Amino acid sequence: MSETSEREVERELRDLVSELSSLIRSGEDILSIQLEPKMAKLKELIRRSLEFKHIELDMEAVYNFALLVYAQSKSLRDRSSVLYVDPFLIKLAILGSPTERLAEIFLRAWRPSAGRDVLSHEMMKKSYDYWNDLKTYSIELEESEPLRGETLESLGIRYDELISEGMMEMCEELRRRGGRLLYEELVGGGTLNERLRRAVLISFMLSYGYAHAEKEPLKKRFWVVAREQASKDQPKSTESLVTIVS
Amino acid sequence: MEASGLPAKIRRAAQLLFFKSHRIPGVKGWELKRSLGTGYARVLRAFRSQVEPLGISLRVIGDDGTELSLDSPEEMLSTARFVLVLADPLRVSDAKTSGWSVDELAGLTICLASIGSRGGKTTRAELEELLRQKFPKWKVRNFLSKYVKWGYLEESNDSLILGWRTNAEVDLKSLLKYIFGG
Repeated sequence: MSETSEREVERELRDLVSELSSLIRSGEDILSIQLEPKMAKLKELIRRSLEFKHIELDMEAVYNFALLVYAQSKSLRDRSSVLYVDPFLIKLAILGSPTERLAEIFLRAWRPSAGRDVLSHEMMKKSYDYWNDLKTYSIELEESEPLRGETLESLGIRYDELISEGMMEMCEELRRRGGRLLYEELVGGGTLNERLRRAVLISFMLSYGYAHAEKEPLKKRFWVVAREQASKDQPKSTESLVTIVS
Repeated sequence: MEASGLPAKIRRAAQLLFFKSHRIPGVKGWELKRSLGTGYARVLRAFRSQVEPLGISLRVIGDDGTELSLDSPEEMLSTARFVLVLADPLRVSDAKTSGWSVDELAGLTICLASIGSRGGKTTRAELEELLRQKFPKWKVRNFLSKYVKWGYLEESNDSLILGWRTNAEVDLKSLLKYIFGG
C-alpha cells in the first residue's frame, strides 16, 4: 500500500471515529441514527487497514459502534416500558398546567418517608456526659483597634507618603501605561507588602479623585482610569469594593 | 424465635426503621439482619401488620431502584433499603407545614416527569430550560440544588437522573398519568 493511500485510510478512520463520538454526545434521538451505512464504511476501511495505527482506530470505531448500539437497545427498552411517554407531550402538558396543579400532582403520587428526629434517653445521657467532660476554657477578649499609622508602617506604608509622592507616582505610572488598567494589573505581582502598599495607594488615588473606577460586572472586571486632573466633585454615591490582595 | 421474643424484635425493628440515623432514611437489609437475626423478614411482616393501620407502609427498594417484596431472594434483600413511608397522600397545607412551597412541589413534578419520560436521564441544561418556562432563573438553580441535596435527583456526569428518594417515595407511573389528567 502506498504512503498516500495509508494516510487516506487513517484520515477516513479518524473522521469516522470523530463522527461516531459526536453522535454519542449529540443527545439527538438515538433511534433516528442510521448505523448501517457507517458500519459498511468501517468494514471497507478495516479491509484496507494494514498498519498498527489503523487497527487502533478500527478498534476505537468498533467501540463507539458498540456504545451506539447499546444506547439504541436501551432506548427501545425504555420506549416499550409502561412508563414511556413522549417527552414532547409531557412538555406540552407541563407548560399548559398551572403550578398549583403541578404541585397537587406531585402530592398525589408522593408518599414521603416517615422517620423521627428526636432525642432518645440514651442519646440525652451521652450528650450530658459529653457536656460534663468538656474542659472549661476562657478566651481573653481584646478590644479591636482601628488601623493606625504604626500598623501601616509595619507593612512598609508611610501615611505621609501615601498622600504625597507615592500617590502621585502611582498616577504617573497609570498615565504612562495608557491611562486605563485592570485593577489586578495595577496592583502588580510583587511581594505581599508591595501589593498591599499599591492597593492602598490605588484606593487613595480613587478617593482623592485622581482616577475613577469602571466596572464590568458581567466580566467581573474592574478598571482604574486616570483623570487629567483630580476631580473636585464630591462623589454622588460611595460604595465598597472587596478585592483580594493575596 | 430467640429468647428476646417477637414483641421485643418488633420494637427493635421500629427503633431501626423510624429512627433517622443517617442522612438517607431507612435501613439496609444487612443492618436489619445483624440486629434482628436471620428471620428478620418474618419480624418485618409482623411489624408491618402493626403499622399499616396507622397509615404507614414498609417499602423495600432494591439497588436498582425497583420495589421488592419481603419474599424477594435474600441476596437482593440484604442490599435493599427498607423505608417507612406514609400510606396516604398529603394535602398541600400539610406539605407547606413541612416546609415545602407550592413552587418547589411543582418544580419537582416537572423534573420527575421530564426525566421519567426520557428513560430516567436528562441533561441539566434541558431541565433548566423547561423549569425556566415556569420559574425565574435564580429559583431554577435553587430548586435543582435542593432536589439533588434531598435525594430526589442525582447528578451523573452532565446528566440528572432519578435519585434514591424518588424511587422510595414517588409513584412515577401515577405521576405521569396524573399529568395527563388521569
